[in-house]
Amino acid sequence: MALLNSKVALFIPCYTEQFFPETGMALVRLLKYFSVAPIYVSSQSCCGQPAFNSGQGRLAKPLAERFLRLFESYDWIVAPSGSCVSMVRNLYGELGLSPQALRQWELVRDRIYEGTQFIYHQLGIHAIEGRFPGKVALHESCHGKRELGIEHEPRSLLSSITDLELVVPPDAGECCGFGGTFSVKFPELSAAIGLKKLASAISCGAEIITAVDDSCLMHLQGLAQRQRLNIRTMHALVIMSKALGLE
Amino acid sequence: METTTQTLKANIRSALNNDRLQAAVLKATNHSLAKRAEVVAELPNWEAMRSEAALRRDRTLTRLDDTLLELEKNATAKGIQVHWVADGEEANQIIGQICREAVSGSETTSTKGEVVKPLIAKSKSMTTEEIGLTPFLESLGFEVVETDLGEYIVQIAGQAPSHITAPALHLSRQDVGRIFVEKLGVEYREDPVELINIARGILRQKFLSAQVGITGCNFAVAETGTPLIVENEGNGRLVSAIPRVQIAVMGIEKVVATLDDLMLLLELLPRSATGQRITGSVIFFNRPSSSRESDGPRELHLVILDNGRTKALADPKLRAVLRCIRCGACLNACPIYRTTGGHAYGWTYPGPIGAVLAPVFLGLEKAKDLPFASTLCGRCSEICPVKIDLHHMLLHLRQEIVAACPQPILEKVMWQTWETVMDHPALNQALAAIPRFLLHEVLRSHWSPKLPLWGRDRSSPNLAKESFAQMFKREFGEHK
Repeated sequence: MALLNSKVALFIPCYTEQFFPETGMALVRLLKYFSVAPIYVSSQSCCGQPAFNSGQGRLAKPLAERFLRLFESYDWIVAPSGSCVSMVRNLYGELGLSPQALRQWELVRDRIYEGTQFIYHQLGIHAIEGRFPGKVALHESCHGKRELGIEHEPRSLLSSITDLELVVPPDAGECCGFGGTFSVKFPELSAAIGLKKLASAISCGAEIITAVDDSCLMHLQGLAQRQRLNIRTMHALVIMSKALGLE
Repeated sequence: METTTQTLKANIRSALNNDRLQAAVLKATNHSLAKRAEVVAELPNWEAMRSEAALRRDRTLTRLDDTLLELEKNATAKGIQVHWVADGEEANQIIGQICREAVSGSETTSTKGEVVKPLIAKSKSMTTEEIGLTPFLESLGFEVVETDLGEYIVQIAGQAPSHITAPALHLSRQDVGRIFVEKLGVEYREDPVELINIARGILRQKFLSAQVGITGCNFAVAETGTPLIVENEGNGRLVSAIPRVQIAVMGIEKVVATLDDLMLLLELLPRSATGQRITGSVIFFNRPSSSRESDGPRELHLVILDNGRTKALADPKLRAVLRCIRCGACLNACPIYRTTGGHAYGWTYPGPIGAVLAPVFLGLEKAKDLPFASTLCGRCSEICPVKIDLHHMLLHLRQEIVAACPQPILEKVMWQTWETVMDHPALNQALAAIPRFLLHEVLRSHWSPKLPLWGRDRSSPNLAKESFAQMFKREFGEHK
């Protein structure tokens, strides 16, 4: 495999670091299983998206420049989040970066990948030869779907798993209502949108709702928990890692 | 009009407490999306058409001044009276003046000796909603009647339109039945055909006695000097055929250079708006009628309105919003609009397009919350027939608003602290050294399930027992 000698860095989003470390670990285990030894740069922090989406582009800029400094020397950067990858790839150009950072961005933007896209396209893995029993509803996270063009990657990988029944609800491509700080500024509205999403997944008979972003799942899990709904959330990478028995 | 944080939040809450409204909005928007998907699927080159339309709209916008002057020249040559107006107030003054002159000398008392208000018939126009034309004309002593069925319903109900192309989208037919009972004194009915017939009976009389007809303008073709509207109910035809004087009101961005450009946009607009291949009629207001013709207005006025549009034109990041052809597809697709309906936005234009236009037209301070009332999911940009990058415009406006408007101190401090921690790994690691296990237990048992940190409807996520960095180090030891 051509990737054997390349340097692959992990980017672990700030909320994954604190709330969902298992998702990051699932990515590491999957990469190792497919013979890639990822490097974890421990001085990494946030890509800056929360600030930028809140209109605080001024504060996102130093974080973006820091991100680019840390990651410019890697051949690939892989993150368990479509949203953060989209921020780096599509929106860093809006921050008024220094000329040096802009040059780094030109390199980094083509090398950063969301986990399932990296596994599917760069590692060429189109099926997971493992077993995970259960009915799983797919939520197509907005930034992954519309800004990175993720569509068949998680579908192919998940539906190839033995005993996993993947269902795609009619509203799979609609927003879950999280929206970053939107969920704090307009909590009732955010919740109302999320509850529609969960109701639709439940009516498809799903026990689990999955996505490639823990941000959506954090919101949906909070709703399911508070409203005592009969559905759990699980990141697509965690399902894949469990299916392969990588724990 | 102004939208404040308080009114926006109150509007959202009231929409969320109104199950009937939510059901009506969801049903209607789903219906529109499904019909749209059907007729879009018929065109294998839909995406290419969108790109072409965006390109042509941009081409016209880059030479908007010349194109508008060409429109004026060609329209004037045919006898259309063109009026340039800077804002809503000026537009209202000029339109009021035209209406006064149109009715001067005509009877103002009925056979019974009562004063009869001179009548103006309107067909649907968001631009006239934007400038508050109807209340202004009413204040001058005119009776103004909306003749589009949806507009008529919201007018008699004392409401504003809640959607750009479907003004009464938020009402079910049962709601309409109840409004007719209350406002028109008829028996309760909920069959759409019966309801339409009631309205038609009333409106027919209005068409016949109206002295002025006011229409909007979906496009105006510069090379031929022709404003036009698209419509389905025939009311626009009557408004532009019967009254002696007709006034068409357009925003400056409605001009298209050529008939060829128009043909492309006429493929995109009805498909995106109502899921139709073409509307029931496309009515060209080509010239005023001559004395030898039995119908059509003798006087035809075209009011060309800026009202903030040139501010968008001057901003390279926002200019493309003037491509908008007001189809309303972004409303139907928006998770916010689909949940709250249009009135929650508190302004003429709801949905993603409204949240972009409001800060531009009204000023950042007056609409500073609307761009934040979005999840930035991108469905609006994806569905837009002229490829306006709406959600990225909202993101851009957020930066402008934070830079220009005073922010709550607490929020400022919070963001600054967050940035400092995130930009300093040493600080980050020092914080990580706090015994997480303890924190995890405290948060789990006492805080997160109870505190409404994230609203009452949703539990907050719990801090993991170990951070990823700690987990990685424990399992693999190696770090860089």
